[in-house]
Amino acid sequence: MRKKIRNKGIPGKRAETETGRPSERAPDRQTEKEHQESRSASVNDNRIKPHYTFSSDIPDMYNETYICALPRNPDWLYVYWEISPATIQQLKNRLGEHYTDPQSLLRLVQLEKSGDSIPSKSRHVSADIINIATDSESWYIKVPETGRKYIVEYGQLIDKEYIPICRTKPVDIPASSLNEPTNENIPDPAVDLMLISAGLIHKGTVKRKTAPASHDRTALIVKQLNQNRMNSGLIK
Amino acid sequence: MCSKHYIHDMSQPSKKTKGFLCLVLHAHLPFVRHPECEYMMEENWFYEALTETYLPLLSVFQNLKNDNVPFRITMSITPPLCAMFGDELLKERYSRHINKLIELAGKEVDRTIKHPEFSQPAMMYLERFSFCKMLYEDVYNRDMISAFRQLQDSGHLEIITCGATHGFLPTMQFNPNAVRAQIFTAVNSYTLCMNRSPRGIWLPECGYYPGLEKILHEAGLDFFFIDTHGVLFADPQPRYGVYAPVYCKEAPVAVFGRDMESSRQVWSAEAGYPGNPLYRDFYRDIGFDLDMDYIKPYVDPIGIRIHTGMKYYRITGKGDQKKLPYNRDLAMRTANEHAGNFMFNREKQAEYLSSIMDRNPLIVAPYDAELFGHWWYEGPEWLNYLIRKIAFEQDAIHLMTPSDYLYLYPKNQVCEPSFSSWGEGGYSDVWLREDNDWIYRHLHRIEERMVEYATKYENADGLLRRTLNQMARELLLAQSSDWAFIMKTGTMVQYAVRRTKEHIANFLRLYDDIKFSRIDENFINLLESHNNIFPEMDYHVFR
Repeated sequence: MRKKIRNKGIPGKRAETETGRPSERAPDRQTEKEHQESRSASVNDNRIKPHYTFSSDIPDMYNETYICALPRNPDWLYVYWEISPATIQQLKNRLGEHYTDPQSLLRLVQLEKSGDSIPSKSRHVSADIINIATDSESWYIKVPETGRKYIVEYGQLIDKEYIPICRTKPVDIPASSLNEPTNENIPDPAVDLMLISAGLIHKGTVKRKTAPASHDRTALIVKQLNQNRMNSGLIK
Repeated sequence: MCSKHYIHDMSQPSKKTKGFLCLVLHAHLPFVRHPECEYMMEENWFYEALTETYLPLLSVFQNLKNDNVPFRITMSITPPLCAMFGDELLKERYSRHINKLIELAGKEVDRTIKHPEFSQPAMMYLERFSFCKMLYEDVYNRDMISAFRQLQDSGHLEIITCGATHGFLPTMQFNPNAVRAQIFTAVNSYTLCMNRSPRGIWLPECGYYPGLEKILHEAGLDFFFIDTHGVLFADPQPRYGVYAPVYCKEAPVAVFGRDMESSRQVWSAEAGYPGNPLYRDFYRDIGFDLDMDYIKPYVDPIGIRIHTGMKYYRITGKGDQKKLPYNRDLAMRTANEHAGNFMFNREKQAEYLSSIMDRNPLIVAPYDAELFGHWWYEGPEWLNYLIRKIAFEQDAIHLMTPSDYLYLYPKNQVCEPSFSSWGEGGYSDVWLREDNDWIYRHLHRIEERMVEYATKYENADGLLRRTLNQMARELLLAQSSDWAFIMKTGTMVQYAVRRTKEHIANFLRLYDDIKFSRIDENFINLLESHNNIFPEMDYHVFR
């Protein structure tokens, strides 16, 4: 369900495909390898000396307290945060000698569909606690349910007490499924149009009598769309 | 100045029309311009695209127009590409570039004279490079924007806009001011270039999140495109699938969904046309194949091999099969056949769709413009054959733009489309992954700082105003989705990282310079001349 960022794996990583966007297409292997090496080399090696340069030094952190969650796809969200020294000092001042051995935690809160910002117990559906390394700064979280709204809260477990420190804005995770039609008795042509749009039947070569029964079609369409998206031959 | 609701007569369908085809070409390159270096390899992206895609496409369109062939094509030309088209330094350098290519092609004609299988393509390159030079220098007077604008004004193209620097909008969604700046800056830039306001927008990477339409509507935009699943997963289900637009729930902006079938025929590397064995092979380039002593004047001056654009082989086949020489006549014949096949499939598609719809369907087929010519060398000719066939060899389908379709069918279903993109995976996976996720902490911080200053300094003038405007430029340039994409692909990563960091560092320095009242005019002068995109920039767009 959860996966740490900056570890050896890439959350949700799929096998890289050879096809797809033209620049990613499977080329003649030898020449493409040379092509890549040459392009990398030209960046790594000395270029012609420029007349001037700009600094590319940027800070690692900003000495601020913030947290942000971004939807990645229907299964994952990405969250990053920073806890400023001032915030930690405030905690220390508040807790005094009890502030020892803090353990960082993320709390994933699933809001009701109508929920927007306040993760009070009456407004959220469920919450998961995620143990993270104290020095981590970001995390990928697999959400338990697609098509829902979540917030992520960063807190610390100090002396067996959980202390929330900051929380994200609500983030909408897409559903990746068909919604209900406006009319429950969806007309046959509209079913066909969904099937054709999803790439399940082509230009009428498969007639309605062979089209899937109504109870199967939603699942079929979603499956086909997911396959289309995973098959990079259809991506860009 | 033309009317915003300009509709050309040629878009009117006949009684035999069964449906409409909306070809969309998305023309984009990141802003790459390096006055600090005599030569910068990454500028070649622009020069290659001019030679292989933009000049050939203009030539195709112009010939069609001269031959009175009716056509309507939708093109997005992004603001960075417009800026590069109009930049004097890049114009001069492209002139240098094409002259070098002509010189190389001339040498190649001599070198291959005893090898007819290679002298034929060598001669072809000499002719095509010379033609590009003639077009660029003499016909268009180096003014590509005017050339495209005239095709729009004559009713052949509908040119739409894009994000200011192609920023991937779903990752900015928690700072609406940042999204607004991408959109409004783009609309302003378009208006200055095209002498009219845009009706539509190609969302960078087709990246949509629910609610974005409110900002698009504020900017006066009437339509945009998203990928198939973004429409099919809409709430409620779209009545016509992707074969008619829907209006967004939160603002009256129309959204058009991509058709899978026509995409597959062109995009798919396995089944798509560009992978045909008779077409030109992209990777076998004489920049890699010939002796370094010979080719050195035409590759990177420090001796790194690069693509020259002269490629003598056809794709031939898979695996280790020996590559066969490129034969232009065979490739053209194939392009003609493929155009016929594409048209036939669209006819059948439209016939069937119209039989089950109570209106004529619209088949939306979007492609990266650079597919045509740069990646798929025969692409512009394929397009030429396709347009002529559609005009003269059938009656079932008709080329149309989104504006035309909305004019014809102003009433459409109201839905809330789904978060989506046209990248691998269909969402944010390409631009938000372990290789590139580090950028968002910084981008979001500088977006906040820009909004802070834009709010704080309501009426800045003089040097302070210039500094704030340059901060806005640096922020927009840092947001370009190209950098995150390159970090993901694994080639040229250092350049993308450097560009991202430089723009962030420039921004932060300017922010601190204002904060501590120490603005350095020399630094501002340097940045204004170096990162000179959007000379009309007004930082208030972030308020």
